[in-house]
Amino acid sequence: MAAADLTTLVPVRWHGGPLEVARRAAVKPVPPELAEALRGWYQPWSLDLLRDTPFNCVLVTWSGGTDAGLEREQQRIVREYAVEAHKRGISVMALLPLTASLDRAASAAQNAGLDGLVVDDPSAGETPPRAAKLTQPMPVIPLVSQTATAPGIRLFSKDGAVQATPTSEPWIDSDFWLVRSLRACGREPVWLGYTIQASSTGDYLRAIADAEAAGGHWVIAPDDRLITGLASREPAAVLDWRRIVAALRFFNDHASWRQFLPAGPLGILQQDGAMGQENLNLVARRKIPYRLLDRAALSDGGLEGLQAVLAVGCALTPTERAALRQFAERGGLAIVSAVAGESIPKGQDFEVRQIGKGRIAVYRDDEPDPESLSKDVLHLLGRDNLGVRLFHAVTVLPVVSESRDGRQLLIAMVNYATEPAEAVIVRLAGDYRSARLYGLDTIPVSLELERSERGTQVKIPRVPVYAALVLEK
Amino acid sequence: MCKRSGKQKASSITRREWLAASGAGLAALAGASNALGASVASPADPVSIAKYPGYGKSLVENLSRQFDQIGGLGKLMRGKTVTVKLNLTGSGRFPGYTEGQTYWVHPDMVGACCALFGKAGAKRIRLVEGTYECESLDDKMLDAGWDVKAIRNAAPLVEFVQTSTRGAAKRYSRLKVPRPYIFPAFDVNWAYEDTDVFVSLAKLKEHEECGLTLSIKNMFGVPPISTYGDDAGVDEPNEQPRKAREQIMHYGSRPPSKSAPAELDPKSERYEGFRVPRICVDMAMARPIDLAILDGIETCTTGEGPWVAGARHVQPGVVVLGRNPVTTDTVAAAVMGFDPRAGRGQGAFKVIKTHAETPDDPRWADNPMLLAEVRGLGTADLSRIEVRGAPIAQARFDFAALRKPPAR
Repeated sequence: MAAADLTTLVPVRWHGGPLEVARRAAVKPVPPELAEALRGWYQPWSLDLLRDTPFNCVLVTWSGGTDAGLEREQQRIVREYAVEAHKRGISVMALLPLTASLDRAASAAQNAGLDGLVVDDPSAGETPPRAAKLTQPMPVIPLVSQTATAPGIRLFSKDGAVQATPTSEPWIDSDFWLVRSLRACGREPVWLGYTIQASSTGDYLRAIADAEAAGGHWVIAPDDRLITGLASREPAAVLDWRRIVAALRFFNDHASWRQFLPAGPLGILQQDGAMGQENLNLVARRKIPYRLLDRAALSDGGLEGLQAVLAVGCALTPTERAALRQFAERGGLAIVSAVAGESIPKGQDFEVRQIGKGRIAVYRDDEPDPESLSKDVLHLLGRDNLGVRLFHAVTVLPVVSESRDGRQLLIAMVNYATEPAEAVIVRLAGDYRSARLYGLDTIPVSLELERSERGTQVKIPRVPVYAALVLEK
Repeated sequence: MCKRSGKQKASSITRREWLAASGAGLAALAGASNALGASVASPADPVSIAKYPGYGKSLVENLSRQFDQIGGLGKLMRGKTVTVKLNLTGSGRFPGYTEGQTYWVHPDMVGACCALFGKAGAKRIRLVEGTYECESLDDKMLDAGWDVKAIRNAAPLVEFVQTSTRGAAKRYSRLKVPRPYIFPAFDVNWAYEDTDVFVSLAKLKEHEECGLTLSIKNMFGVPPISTYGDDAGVDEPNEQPRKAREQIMHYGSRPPSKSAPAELDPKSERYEGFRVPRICVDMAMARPIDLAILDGIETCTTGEGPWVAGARHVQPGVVVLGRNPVTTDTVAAAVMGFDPRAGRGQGAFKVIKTHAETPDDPRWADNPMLLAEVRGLGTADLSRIEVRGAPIAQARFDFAALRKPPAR
């Protein structure tokens, strides 16, 4: 399978077989009906579930590092299953724990006719295992499972109060910023690998939308209830499965949106490490549209169209600092860390210095508190300069991008709450000809544009889990 | 009660409906204006109570009737600039309810008041409230799902001013406190000075640290966080403030910006249950309240917002209003099932603290109504206050019985 083909894969976590039952039983007792469902999973009926769906790749239980005899039996079953899957045009990849011997697994997988390996990735920032290292090369896709988290809202604190304070917003867990970050580093495809125990179909849809909005995939992982229900053809489970498939189909139908480029007034210089990731997470949570920059952008005109550049903790070279200084002199806002010996007034985390037509905000620390930093960035930039603002959307995060020709602006909105967001207002800088709203299970509709001195406003009646607003210039 | 009903209704009222509804009460208002004009605010001004089935179209008509009961709006409002201090503290949601249904004044109440003030001849209505991070007030409302356009259209001229900073003015307005408790004067946004009529439009609810949030407690949000917030400038106000009024106003652990008057006695009691009620009374003395309106149609109990553990939505279905903040708050406290004359640590003022700084933090607050009474602002003696409209017993919604302090 060519590397380019990997980006066309739409994966599903398809655990099953005797090894899967043993693996789970080693952790906690497996209910009999679940054990039965898993044991019988690698039968043609489970491939029937994928018929006429976007799924074209199953990740199968392959190696568990347990009993060798059991592993042989598992691989025999999977081999037969793979033959049937291939007849239906479905790729089969072996899902491996990071501890597995890649070389040995690759060899066995190749002998069994599998199409590649998928490996649990301990950290999104680490280098993924390389196919080239294998004796028998085959595609290896790292699964982002440790860094990613099931999206949603943490509503209640330990003492039972709603997670809110007189000055703060509820806490949203999301991964779209992570997907964006990985894609910006050239990592394709980006597959998020966490699993969920869903309380409703909405949990699946939210996880799908969160990753897809940024051009990645959440590897759909049926939970125990769904596995058991699908195995016994339970109508409620089949209905849930159809809704999941419909959501996937929506994103598959709009795959061209993956090619849109991130848009926003803020450029963030890519930064390695946990702190850099947390900065991205929190900037995203503050609903600041941003795009990621590599170092080259500082010298090759990559700052064009930006109002601010966040480069705190980036150990800038003198040349890079000079480029940011020029950016500020022309009217931009550069946010950087102080260099050795540079003083910041006592009692302040940062100092804003007027320079030319713009400003430089200089932080005392290389790693300021990300929560404060994201607030500061929003404040320094100014809410009215975000380009895209959402109102009445406390549980909704926007993912803003634009077509390569710049004629279309896409605002993907993911609602992380279990209840729909209603009467959401989107305020945009600039003028647009038309606005069209897309949803997972609704017919696209045109929306009225309302123009005022503060910009163009569009009212979105409802954002259940996901909505996409496409604006034409 | 239908969840989220308030939000639906907020956006369902058109300008025509606001005005049509307010027209129904015009004749009564005109007839009553003389009486109001002749009256002089006395320490025992009457208070009106009315029961409401919910927010919505009948709100304007019923409020109009209540204003009539306290003498009408005509002379008070005609040709005047009316500034309305809203109660929009904090953020977050009680799941399933809007802010207006629980801990902010409801947008329908704001719209109805604007419509009635406009019909009474107010030249300009200025809605004011502080906002954190200095977003504009109308954006804050929009963010909460308010139909800002409907409110703007409810009267000929409705303005929105966020008062956390100096704003468009060149300087702060200094309001002196006659017979102060804590601060001899406050530096505040110009909007609090540039007004003929000042209205405190607050939610009727409890408060975790102070016992009650009523029209006097609503004044806590008047001093700008630029000068009185935790990130206020040391020498001069910080015009980019983002923090609450904890250190300076709650705990007195630092002074306001030096440009503003310092407190009288920095060695006085630092406990917030002592300070906050006094500061609120100081503020109400500095910026006298001409009209107090308490929205208790839907609200929350146990605490002032969703950040308080155990706080939850309730629907008392009541509005209490009057020309005097002390008498109005006194009657409201009684409607809530509390003794309005309860002393420190008694009744409503035996406070619930779920976010106490330490386990040994005191659990009392002083009664701001009594503090205000001492300063001659009005009487907190229920027997001296004439209640018009629904009797207290009929309107009572027993917050006191619903209070469930968490185990320490």
